Amino acid sequence: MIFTEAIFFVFLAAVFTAYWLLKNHREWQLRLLLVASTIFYGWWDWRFLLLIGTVILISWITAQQVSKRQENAPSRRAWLIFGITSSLAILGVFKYFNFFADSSIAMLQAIGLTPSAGAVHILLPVGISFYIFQAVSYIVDTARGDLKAENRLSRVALYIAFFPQLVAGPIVRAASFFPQMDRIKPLNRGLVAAGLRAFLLGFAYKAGIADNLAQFVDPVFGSALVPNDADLTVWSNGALVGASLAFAGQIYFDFVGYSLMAIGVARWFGFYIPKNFDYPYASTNIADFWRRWHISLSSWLRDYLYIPLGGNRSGKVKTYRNLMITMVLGGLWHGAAWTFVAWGALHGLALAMHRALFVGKSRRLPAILALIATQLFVLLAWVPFRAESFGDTIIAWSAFVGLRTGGPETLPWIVWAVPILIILDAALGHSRLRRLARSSLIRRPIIFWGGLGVLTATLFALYPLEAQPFVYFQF
Amino acid sequence: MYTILLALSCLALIGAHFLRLPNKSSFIGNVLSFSAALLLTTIGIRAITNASGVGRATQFDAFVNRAALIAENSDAPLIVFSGASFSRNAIDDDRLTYILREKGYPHQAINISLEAASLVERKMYLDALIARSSRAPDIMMLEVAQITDTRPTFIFNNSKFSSRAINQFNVEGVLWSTAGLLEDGCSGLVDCAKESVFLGAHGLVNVFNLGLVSQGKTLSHEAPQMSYDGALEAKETIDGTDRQHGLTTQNLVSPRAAHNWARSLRAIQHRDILAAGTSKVGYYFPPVISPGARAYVADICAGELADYTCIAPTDPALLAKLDADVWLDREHLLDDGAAVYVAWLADQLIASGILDEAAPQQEGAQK
Repeated sequence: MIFTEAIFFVFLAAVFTAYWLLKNHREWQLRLLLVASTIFYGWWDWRFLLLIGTVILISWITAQQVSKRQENAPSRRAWLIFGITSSLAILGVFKYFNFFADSSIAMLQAIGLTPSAGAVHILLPVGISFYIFQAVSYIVDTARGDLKAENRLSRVALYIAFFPQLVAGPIVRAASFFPQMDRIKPLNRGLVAAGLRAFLLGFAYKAGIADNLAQFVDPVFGSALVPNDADLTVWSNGALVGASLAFAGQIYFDFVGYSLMAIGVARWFGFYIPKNFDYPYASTNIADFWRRWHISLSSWLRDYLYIPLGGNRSGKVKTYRNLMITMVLGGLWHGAAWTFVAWGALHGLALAMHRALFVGKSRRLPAILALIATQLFVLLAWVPFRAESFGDTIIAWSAFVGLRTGGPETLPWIVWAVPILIILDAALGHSRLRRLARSSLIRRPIIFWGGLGVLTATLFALYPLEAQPFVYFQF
Repeated sequence: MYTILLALSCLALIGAHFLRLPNKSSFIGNVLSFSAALLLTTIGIRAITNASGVGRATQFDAFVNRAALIAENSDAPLIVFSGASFSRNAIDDDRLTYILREKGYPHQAINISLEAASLVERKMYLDALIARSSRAPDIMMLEVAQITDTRPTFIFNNSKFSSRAINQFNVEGVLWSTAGLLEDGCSGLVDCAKESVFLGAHGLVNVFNLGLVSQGKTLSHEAPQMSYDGALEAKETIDGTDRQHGLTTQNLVSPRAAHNWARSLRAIQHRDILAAGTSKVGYYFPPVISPGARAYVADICAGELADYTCIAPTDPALLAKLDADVWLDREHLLDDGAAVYVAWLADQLIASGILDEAAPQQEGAQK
């Protein structure tokens, strides 16, 4: 069930109505959300429910056991290790088994051995990376004493499986979510308006823009939907650069779109989920980029990986090492392929270089130059993220600098207009224009309802009749 | 096309960023503002896409573009055949052109038939052909078939929410099809309810331009393609006795007219085609094994279409030649069968005189 599909709207309407009919029965409201989340996730494949159920049980039991024990008790540490490693082991098996098995076989073949390849291929459960990270953060926060272990299994289950952000984030912290389960919010105009604004903007990003950009990216970089797509050599240099540009736009509008829709849907049920993006393509250095891109993941990596590794407290070399480890693992989190590892490593390297050259120093690049350099790096780094192999990555990078003879296939001119959409989006998000949106003129009923009519008609025309899954579902 | 896509994307971005729920407002005023803006924008988008020749591309566009290309590059009188799968498998237009020229007629035959094409859809694409072509076809031959005369929503058996299914149910298409459904176009409450719901849903998708720009293409850029689909191998085994029985059974002709909606639609189409510059319009139906389906066309030819050239496949000599392994299935011919039919059809066209006359056909005056 994808947020842009008709069936989701039917589901949402039913759950919304039932939820607010139960407005005087908080526990029933929460149970309803849990049932709805179960249906939502089981819609993909009912077998996934067994897996998420296991993750929920592990988190609940671990948190209970950890909180019962004294801080220095060895059994407490044992429970903590059990909880974290078993959660990560589930992620490892379901997400990375095929990757490591294939990589091992390739390595053995490279040294002349011919291993008998098993035919085991494990299905990747949608959203597993997101809910495992939520489960781990719950266990760790409980162990750190930042959070009281929740006795009710159903509440832990709802925290991990809450359907608006279950399959592609944002990764919500337990400390922020649990108190909201006890907080009763009335259904009012403000709640509906906030949800509608976020959902509509997200829908415009996803259905109006991202899905339309996919048609220029998939034929070049490959997609399960496009057969015979693997050969990049048929594309001209311009097409490869254009497709990279289109992908930069696609992944941004797709993921921001999903996050906003998740935030909007959660608001309609009275839950607040913090924003996940803050116009990252307006950032003027790579550290700034990571403060604005997939904020819930970057802060998770910071709090549960970078800082426990030592962060920046143990000297320069260890700081760079920690940055590299964090970003390489962050890359691997995105997908079980060496190209994702390379993407993470590139960002780790860029963060380390930025730290070495600029942090704590007085030197600064002119803002426009810093913006261009940062975004050019981000664009180039998207290539291995999207390409299916290192070979494809090299071909596409070569196209950027004209180091290859281009093929005959070209892309339409509109791919060069992607920066217009990104700049327009950033401009519209600028605080001055946002203030304008709050002006009394904009808030006149005729402007709102008329504007909604125009937007609806526009989104109808842009709506992809064959709904495309969100890019981040695969992560 | 891409300019429209970019412009609408920008519009969506701006609109979505600026919407802020007002504090107080009247319900009726809100509904009116929303509806008016929705309607005007929808109409505006459709006007822009129409003016730019952008739409949901189907195989029909490829056929129409081929016909337009032939019309542009040839001085020969054009005779266009429009039908459903019966015609797609039966009218080998290159072979028909060759036969006609051997017999001294310079006509160029063009087939633009597609499976499950309803009367409404065919009308739409004949209009498109006239609009996209540098000259109107000289003669148009329109297929008459029981199934398309009685089942206006037959496309739903073939596909739902495809570009073809959405395309044909514009306001005009919905009205014609609703009239058809009300006139025995479906059987039983469940079937009628199902067809009506699908018709309504397709109509809404069409009217509100759902996916029109995201999936739209410049229709005149679709690569030209030949419609005739000469199949070489049978899809189903047909019992010889059964086939012979079907082909030799001849029903008595009792002149009649199709249901009102189909008759009216045909009459309007006939008038419009002549008004667009086509000299003559005729009717036909390729052979099928079912005597009932052949008889239906013979009855219509003798009744509703008695004033026009109307070629029903009831000639025993033709049917005798088709009593062989020339059938793809009970309703469609293999390439060998098409060769037999086309040779016969050429003779029928010549005999009818439809190829001879240069003067425009007057409404109801020529046969």
